Amino acid sequence: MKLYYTEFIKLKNTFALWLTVLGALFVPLILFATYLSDVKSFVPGPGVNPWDDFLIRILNGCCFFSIGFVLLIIGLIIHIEHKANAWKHLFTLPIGRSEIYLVKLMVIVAIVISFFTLYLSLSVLSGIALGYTVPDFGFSRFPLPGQHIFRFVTEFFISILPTVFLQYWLSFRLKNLIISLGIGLGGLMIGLLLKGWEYIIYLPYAAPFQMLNYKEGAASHQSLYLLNTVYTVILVILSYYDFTKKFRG
Amino acid sequence: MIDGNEIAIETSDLSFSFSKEQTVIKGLNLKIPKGSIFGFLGPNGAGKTTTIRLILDLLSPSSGAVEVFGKSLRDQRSLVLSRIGALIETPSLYEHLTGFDNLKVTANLRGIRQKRVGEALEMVGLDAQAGKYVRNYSLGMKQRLGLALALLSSPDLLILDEPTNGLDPSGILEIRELLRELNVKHGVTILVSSHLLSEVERLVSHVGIIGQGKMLFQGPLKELQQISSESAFIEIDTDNNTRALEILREDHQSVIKATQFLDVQYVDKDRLAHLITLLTAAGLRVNRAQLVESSLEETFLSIIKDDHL
Repeated sequence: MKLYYTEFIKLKNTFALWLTVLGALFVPLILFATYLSDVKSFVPGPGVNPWDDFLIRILNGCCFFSIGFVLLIIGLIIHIEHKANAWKHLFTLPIGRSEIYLVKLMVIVAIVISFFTLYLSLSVLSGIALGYTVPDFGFSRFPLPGQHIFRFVTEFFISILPTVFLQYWLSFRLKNLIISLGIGLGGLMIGLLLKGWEYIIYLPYAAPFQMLNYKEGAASHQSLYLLNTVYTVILVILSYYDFTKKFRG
Repeated sequence: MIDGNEIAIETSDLSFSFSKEQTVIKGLNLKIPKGSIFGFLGPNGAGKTTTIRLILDLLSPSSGAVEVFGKSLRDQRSLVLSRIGALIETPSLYEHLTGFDNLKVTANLRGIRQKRVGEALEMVGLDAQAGKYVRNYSLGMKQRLGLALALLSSPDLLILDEPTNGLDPSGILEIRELLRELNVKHGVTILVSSHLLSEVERLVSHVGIIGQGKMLFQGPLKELQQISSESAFIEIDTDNNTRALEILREDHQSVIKATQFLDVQYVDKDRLAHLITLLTAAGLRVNRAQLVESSLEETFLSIIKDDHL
């Protein structure tokens, strides 16, 4: 636990905290402003649940922006060690390399989960606030589809896990933050541009864009999760082996 | 002869290569006595830092083994590293954190109580600047903070790779005093690397000289001084050097060179007086009888140079 806490000391005075908060605030705030700026267009027809439309926008926003956040936060956390030339110091301490690998990964996963929690909480809050501000939107008349959100976030998290591990591996292997980020962003661009190509699911970076316009239980998603689970296992094994046996800082 | 318990670091036939063509360390047998201050010397690129990295498990040897305080580094890595404090090349510092936080990070990772952080900062004279961000530290202050990181765990063995880099003369003096105190009062074994003998000559009790990945000399500093004094000679000039040479040879003196002057190996003052008496008694006028000594630095350089030849 102390190792975990120590990783957070290293994040003091860095952009990590602000990136998490501002990144999570961005889409909900834009949506809130957009709904208010054009009320008539967003008032739903009679009996229509406004949350359905609102959630598609929120979840699509998550597909587009959260993966960018993931790349940035991983790069930032690992770059702290490169910049301080600290790997050699860490490796001469009486702690195992596996512990260093795991504790950093735990911090990354904790921050990513915090980001999703904050993003979705702020999104829901912004919907509730819109319902109070303009009752015609009807947000307060319909229940929030909480299960739908939970299913999305679980499936989305599984789909981005290979990207998390791949980017984690690249970030500790490549000292230059721009290169590791560039590879990640390049992968995302290809994943987005070739979104409709039948083989694009084999590119781990393409997974978030396959989740756009999310529908529960879609058959196409099942093969994507299976593939991403396999990718995750392979990347965990390879990156762990490389970090503990080969990586010298 | 040093017994097993008296050795802090021992390497056996240690070899390391970055590629098949480039062997950097070649069968190195290093023995550092416990309680010593060991000056690890050699020119740039001789293999000092690589050896230190091998001792700290930052590199894996292609063959050979490392033992620290009798424990195998390969088998008991954590136990061995828990007794070592190290500063390798430039210190590893998080510039966006304060000096205090930098030490706190390492203290947490090593499981050391927070009180020790203040003590370590005081030891290197940085207690007043503990709250300052490291990005605002001077090069010398960063080097001292790096030393504080190494001292944090009260190690039995301190490994310092060129620790006086970036320090001004008074800083070098302070660090030297601190290391001496750690060695004398706390019995800390210190391995300090440098490419200049003059930098560590006043500090070390033992010396190891490495050149092109091979150990060229290791032993007490006195031994190196002995080699240095053995290379001293007397330069003699008389009004008839040919005759003088005959007399010296008849007296079984070791004449090293007979060119413009006669160079005779120096043994002691009595021998010097004897030579002058011998030559004047033979009716020769001694114009010059000068003792020529080589400095320790020259001896060090000649050891390295011989290796290069």
